[in-house]
Amino acid sequence: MMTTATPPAERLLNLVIALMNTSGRLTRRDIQQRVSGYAPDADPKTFERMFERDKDTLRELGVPIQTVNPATDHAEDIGYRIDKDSYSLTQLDLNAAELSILSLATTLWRDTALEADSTRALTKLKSNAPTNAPTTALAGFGPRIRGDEPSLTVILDAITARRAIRFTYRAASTGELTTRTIHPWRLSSRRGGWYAVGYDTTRNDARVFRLNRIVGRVKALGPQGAYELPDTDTIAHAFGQDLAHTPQQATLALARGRAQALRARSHPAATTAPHGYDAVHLTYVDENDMSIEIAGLGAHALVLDPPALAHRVIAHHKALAELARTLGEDPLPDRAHTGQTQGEDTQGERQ
Amino acid sequence: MTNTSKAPRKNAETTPQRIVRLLSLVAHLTARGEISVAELAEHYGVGPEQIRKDIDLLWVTGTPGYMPDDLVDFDAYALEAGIVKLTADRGLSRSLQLGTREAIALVAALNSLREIVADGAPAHHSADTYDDNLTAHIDDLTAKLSLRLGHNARALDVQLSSHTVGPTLTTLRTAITNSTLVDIDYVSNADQRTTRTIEPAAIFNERENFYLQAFCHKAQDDRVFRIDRIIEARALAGTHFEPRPLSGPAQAQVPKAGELAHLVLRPQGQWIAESLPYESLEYQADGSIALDIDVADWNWFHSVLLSHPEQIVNVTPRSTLKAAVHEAERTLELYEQLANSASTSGASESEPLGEEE
Repeated sequence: MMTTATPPAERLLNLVIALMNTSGRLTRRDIQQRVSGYAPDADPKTFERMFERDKDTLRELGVPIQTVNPATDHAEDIGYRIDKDSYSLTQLDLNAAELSILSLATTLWRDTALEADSTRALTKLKSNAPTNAPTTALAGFGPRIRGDEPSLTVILDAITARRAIRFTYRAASTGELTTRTIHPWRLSSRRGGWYAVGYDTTRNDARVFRLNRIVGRVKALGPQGAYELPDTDTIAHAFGQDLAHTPQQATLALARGRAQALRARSHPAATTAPHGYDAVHLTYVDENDMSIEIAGLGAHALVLDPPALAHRVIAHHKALAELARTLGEDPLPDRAHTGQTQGEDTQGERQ
Repeated sequence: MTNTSKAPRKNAETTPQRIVRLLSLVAHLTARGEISVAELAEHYGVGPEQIRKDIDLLWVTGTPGYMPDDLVDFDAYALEAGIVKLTADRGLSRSLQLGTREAIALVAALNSLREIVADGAPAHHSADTYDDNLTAHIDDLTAKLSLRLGHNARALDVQLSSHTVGPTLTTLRTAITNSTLVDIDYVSNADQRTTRTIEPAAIFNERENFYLQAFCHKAQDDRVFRIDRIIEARALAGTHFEPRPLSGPAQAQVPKAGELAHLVLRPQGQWIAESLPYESLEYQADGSIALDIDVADWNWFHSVLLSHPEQIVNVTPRSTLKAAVHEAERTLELYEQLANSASTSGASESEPLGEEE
């Protein structure tokens, strides 16, 4: 057997077929000796590593590999099999329209950590759908989501397994790093941000965490089923509370004749504004989004209140100044595709 | 915007992706009988050569022993004629179940689609019946998938829409259905406010923004408007227009001015990249995103720099960066002045608002 030449897909498929067709179970030894793709005379450790990886890969895909513990105490008697009924639980037959809709819906996860899952799900479901379903009139119309977080899949797995998770978290106001251990309940995406809602085991209370303030990796710990999910209302309440889902009011100074888009969404305020500006009140929900919009207007929009929003806008402006300082020190890299080498001002001044 | 990305977004197919398709192929052929290579390729979104490679791989897999009777088998003659006919499935006849995470991802995706459908629809069908059917389909699918998920169906919750555009969307949707002209007060990217008469054609969403594709009488051309920048939309009762064919996939159109800016964003700035009208997009080795942008209005480009400095790695021409920084520094000075006058009047700072601590 030329195991070095066997593509992994072939070996894995052989493993699936072998495990599906065994009347009892197959031990590791059986597998190494008899399943094509594994080297029968490789040393046990090498085989182990490969087999464990293969088993994990298949389980990740949803192939239910069962471990059959032997009557004896010998580890080498542990066996594996796939139960056909577990392999294919509920059949989900899709008609043409349904397949089109699902294809469209799954554009949501493009470029995110859940893209692979949704693509795989679609491929699996295609086995039960008519070939060449016509595309709907909605082609190109699919939902898109902003913001990807690498920790999505880990946290989602923890939620479904009811396992605790631990991560390092940066506090919003102070930037302080703390280690948090929580029982996660739900992942929510709102206006470009991902949030994890759960029970903070140290603070003994529900908390909401913004995923882009998690530093490093999220680790699941402890056993499955470590906690119960509270009811939907409790979770929604925890999320709404902490997120200040209720609209906030900002007081802005808008330069006369400018900032039309903001102006259209605000109403005049009685506050004194600097000369040349009009004071307005504006409601917003997401502080980050609002700060981005205001920062884009430069001196045409100033935040008079609340201070937190003003700080964010100021931070954006400082970041730009810092960027310029950093770049000012670095010569521009060569632009390979235009063949130009560039120094600082070769493009000339533009007004 | 033209999307001439130079590098493929995705790496070559992974083994897990391929395995899922291989298993699906066998189940599909079992369920549907014989299917042409071309049809299979179209169905699975791969090239026909890939389907043939998949068949070749399946043909040598089977139960230990790997004698002819052990192997997955196809009708060789049929295959020569381009038809795939399964003759031995070796136990793979049924579809592989969905994993929990996969089903959750689908349910969340369906909920998001439903959100959009409830707010807007393209003009190809009478909006009412088409949307109702679509919504019914989505609900059916969601119910089927959620059934086996139980509590887990709610583990992932995605809300897309910005609720402030509701009334405008309703006006526009009705106008699309009835082919009525609409006057819109619109604020452009460059902060210019204009009033235009338009023939609304289709509504779509890109990330979280809703866009309207319409024929603009002022420009005598197709245009794309961001709906949250439409301050007011007034349907002109009693008017009627003949719907024109859409000029192609709805895309934001940028007049070419011939002046290119080059922007490099961090990998996390992907969403910003996609919201910009770039001429080309390239992924660099470290994952950062290099864009060439045709800038018609440098003021607009400055506001892009001012909005997203944290995601910017590099930008040229330097003059535009300097101009934006000048504006940022001017604004910082104004804030200082405000702070000084506030402290002289004794105003106190309140606790910052926001989420967790």
